[in-house]
Amino acid sequence: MWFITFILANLIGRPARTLLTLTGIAIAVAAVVSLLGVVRGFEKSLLDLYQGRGIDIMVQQAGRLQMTSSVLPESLGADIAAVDGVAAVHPALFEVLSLIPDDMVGVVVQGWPPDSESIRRLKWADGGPFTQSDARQVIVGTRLAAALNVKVGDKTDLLDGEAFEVVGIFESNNVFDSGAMFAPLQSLQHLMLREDEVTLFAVVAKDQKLDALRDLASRIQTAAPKIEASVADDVAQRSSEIRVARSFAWLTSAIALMIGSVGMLNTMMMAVFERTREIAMLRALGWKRRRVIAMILGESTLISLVAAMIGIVLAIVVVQVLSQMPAAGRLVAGDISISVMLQGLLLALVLGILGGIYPAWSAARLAPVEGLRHD
Amino acid sequence: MTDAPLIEAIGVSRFFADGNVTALQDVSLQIQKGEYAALVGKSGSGKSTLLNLLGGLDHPTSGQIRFNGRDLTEYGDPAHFRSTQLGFVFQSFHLVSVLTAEQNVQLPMFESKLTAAERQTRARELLDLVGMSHRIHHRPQKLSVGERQRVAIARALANQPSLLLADEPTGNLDSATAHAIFELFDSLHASGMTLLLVTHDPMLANRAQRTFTLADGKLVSS
Repeated sequence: MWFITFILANLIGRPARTLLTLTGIAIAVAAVVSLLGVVRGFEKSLLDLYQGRGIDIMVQQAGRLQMTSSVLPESLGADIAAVDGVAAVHPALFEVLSLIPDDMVGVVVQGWPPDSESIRRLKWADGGPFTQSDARQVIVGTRLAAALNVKVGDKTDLLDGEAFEVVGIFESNNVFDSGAMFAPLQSLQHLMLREDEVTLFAVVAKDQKLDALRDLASRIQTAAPKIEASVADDVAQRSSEIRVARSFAWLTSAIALMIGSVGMLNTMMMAVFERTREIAMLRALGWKRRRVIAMILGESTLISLVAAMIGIVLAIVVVQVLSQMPAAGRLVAGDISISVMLQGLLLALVLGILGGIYPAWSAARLAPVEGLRHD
Repeated sequence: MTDAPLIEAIGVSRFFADGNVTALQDVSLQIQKGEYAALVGKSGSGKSTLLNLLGGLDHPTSGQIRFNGRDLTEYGDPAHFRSTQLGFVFQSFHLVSVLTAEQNVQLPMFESKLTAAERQTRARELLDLVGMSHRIHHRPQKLSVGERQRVAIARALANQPSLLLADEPTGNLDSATAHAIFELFDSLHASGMTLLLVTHDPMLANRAQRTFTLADGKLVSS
């Protein structure tokens, strides 16, 4: 018999308690892994969004926390285009509209010129791009098309009584893209009563090395007052939504860690209490304190690791299911990275050790004579 | 020069509850290597307390316990002393319910340097020695009380102890089963094992070479 066999036998021999603890820890790990997975997917999607569209630098109004609230004059595009090192400038207007009933997030409708990189790089599932800047047409990602239940040729209202024709449906693995809607810039400006206004300028640089991009961004920033030019990679990192989501995920993880530790502590304390005579007998037979500690910590760690694996599988399923749901699918990418899974595993390991350390210590301190008298 | 006793108590006293309860008072005894001794006395006479002190499970308030001529405190970790020198048999067997007979016997061997395969071989040999080779894969719940005590005795012998200590080993057994256990102790003694048994059972005490009688915490005869 290996030592681990004894640890396993102790867990398997008390199935109800082991299963209940496993379930509690697995749920905690599943919650943490799904949340972190969603946030990481969110971040990755945001990064891919800019890179996939060939955007190197974003220019928006200075001091705006959220990109969609930025307001800039469209005429500023010419000043930016004149900065040395700029290959192309594409203006864009972003509006958050309520297109889906009971949707708390809203749909970001993006107005782009028909010849912009963002439109040219799309891959089509059906139909194609709009060609006129003033056309009352839209193109939508596959996830949004499913959520709106529209196909090419259908009409959809952007505002009450303002119908736009769906001319194309595009495919994208990116959660932001496939949940987005694109309209011709001019028609969106007209619809929103924001003639000559844009949210941002997407800049394509001649030299795309990171240092050169940062240098170009700082030069663009001096070209006009009250603007903020940021390299696309940095925008994703600084996004307020990402920061809030990240904080939320870590806060939830901390709570899960706390609850999980208390649950584990309770289980292992009960295990030590119920097995007082057994532990005393083992000490009487010559087991050293460190072996008793290894046994109790081994049990708590093993439960945690098995629970982590179950929790990770559960998280993968939950995130997959969420990504398939029409409303949530526009926000949730369907995959969880290996690093997030490893974080879940690490969390469980910490839970196992934190929850097992005090019971192990009290078991090791048990006086054999007292323990053997225990009923 | 004569050999030192295997184990001896020298003027041992043990008080509990801040000195208000006297469990043992000035007890001295010696057990030679290869001896078969019994410790008898009424309930509360201090038998189990003395056994716990001799087994390094408790410390005397005053006096000394010496093993092979050395004070027990010189052996360092009492757990290491118990693991290498002693075997314990308890009245209630204290077998681990989630393990088989063979696995129970292996428990003390985790503190030895034996490999898993060697532990298994030794456990089987010991179970064979106590007549339990046909029940090695049975858990305690599937064994009779006599069989459980045989497994517990095999477990006590796991690390080849110098001294076997048993606290009321037949206290939970019927007379026929107890008789079989007496014979097992006899055969262990015949093979050279030193035994000290705490017992109420006069039949078991009579089989011992020497009997120590305790009354009210004092040794009244030996």
